[in-house]
Amino acid sequence: MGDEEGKVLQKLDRKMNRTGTIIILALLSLVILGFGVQALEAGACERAFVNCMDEPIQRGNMLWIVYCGNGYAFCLKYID
Amino acid sequence: MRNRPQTWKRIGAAMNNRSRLFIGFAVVCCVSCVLDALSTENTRPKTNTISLEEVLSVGTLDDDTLFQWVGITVDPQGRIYVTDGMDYSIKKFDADGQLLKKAGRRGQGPGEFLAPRLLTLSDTSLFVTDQNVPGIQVFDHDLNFLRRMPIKIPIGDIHALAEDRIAAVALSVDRPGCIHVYDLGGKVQKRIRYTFKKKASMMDWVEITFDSQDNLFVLYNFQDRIEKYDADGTRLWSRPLLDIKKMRTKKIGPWEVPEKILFKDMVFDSCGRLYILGGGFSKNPGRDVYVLDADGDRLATFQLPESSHCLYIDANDFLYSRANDGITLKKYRIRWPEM
Repeated sequence: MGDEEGKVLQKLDRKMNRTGTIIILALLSLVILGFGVQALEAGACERAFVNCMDEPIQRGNMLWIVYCGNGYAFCLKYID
Repeated sequence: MRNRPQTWKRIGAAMNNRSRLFIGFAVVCCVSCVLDALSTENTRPKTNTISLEEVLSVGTLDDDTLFQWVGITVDPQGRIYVTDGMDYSIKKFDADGQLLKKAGRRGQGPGEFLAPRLLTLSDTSLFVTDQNVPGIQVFDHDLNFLRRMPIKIPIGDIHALAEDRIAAVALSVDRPGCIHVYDLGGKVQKRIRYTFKKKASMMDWVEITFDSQDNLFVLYNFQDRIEKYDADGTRLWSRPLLDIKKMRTKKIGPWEVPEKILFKDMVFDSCGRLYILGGGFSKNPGRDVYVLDADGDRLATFQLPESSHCLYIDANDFLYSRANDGITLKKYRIRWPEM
């Protein structure tokens, strides 16, 4: 009886470990995927901003930087 | 029955540290969810029962009526004017959503656009900005090009005033925040300063609107602040809305820029209530609308059905917002709860 109960308990423990691991993995992937989407969207605005400021003819032009910033603000407004 | 407590004890003993850790993690998640729900409940305004009834939808995924509309204004007869960023054009619809006219094409010449953005309507003119081209283009109500106002400064927001004047937010990263009032020829008639720092930044960029008494309302895009100025430019009050103390910024190249937008747009209804569209810090970004009275006290909060970049309310108190990522424009009747 004692041995049998011990085996059942061991089985239960293993099962709980496996279930726990699966749930934690699922939660982690959800969190990572969620952030991934946000990063992708935010990244699009940042990339556009950096590209805009890198415009060779306009480099260093303060007014142009404001135009780029205006585009960045619009991008955040449109996708956020 | 007698053995039950002993069984639980043995189960406890058999559980290893990993199992305990998992159960602990699950408990923490549950408690955090409950606390979050409770805090949302506490901050929710009591009169949160405004509803929207859709009365018109313009543009679908299957037609080419709208590609990506950006700015909107509506005349007293309910005719809708929009800028279509992906179509390099401005479009005019009747009150039933039928396209009356389209004007513009890609370019930098008269009546042409690279990135048409904002538009505002006076008694005789339609003013349109382009994100990438300086100045404001002026059209008549039938979308015929009239002139370009020669304004060099990039513009953040515009608002048509009486006598064909236009107020515009002059964007800068090295000068204090300023709103200019121009005449039709593009001459500055008046300057209203709203920040007094020696050096400004993107954090000081704002949206503007005016009430029926010509009081100016300034809404910061990247700060938790809304301000009211009288017609002479004297600040009457300045107050926060969401109690957000610090905005996160990040460095992009040499520039410190805000990571998220706090407020996207604001507009008055005919009763003098101010509607503010929340951005990335709202519980429902691009959907939460905060309704304030003329003193800035919050009356209610409601949600748009879909995320929008802007908010517009016409003279008959119909609300307009975005759907399908800019392919569709929705018009709603605002239903206030019976008090």
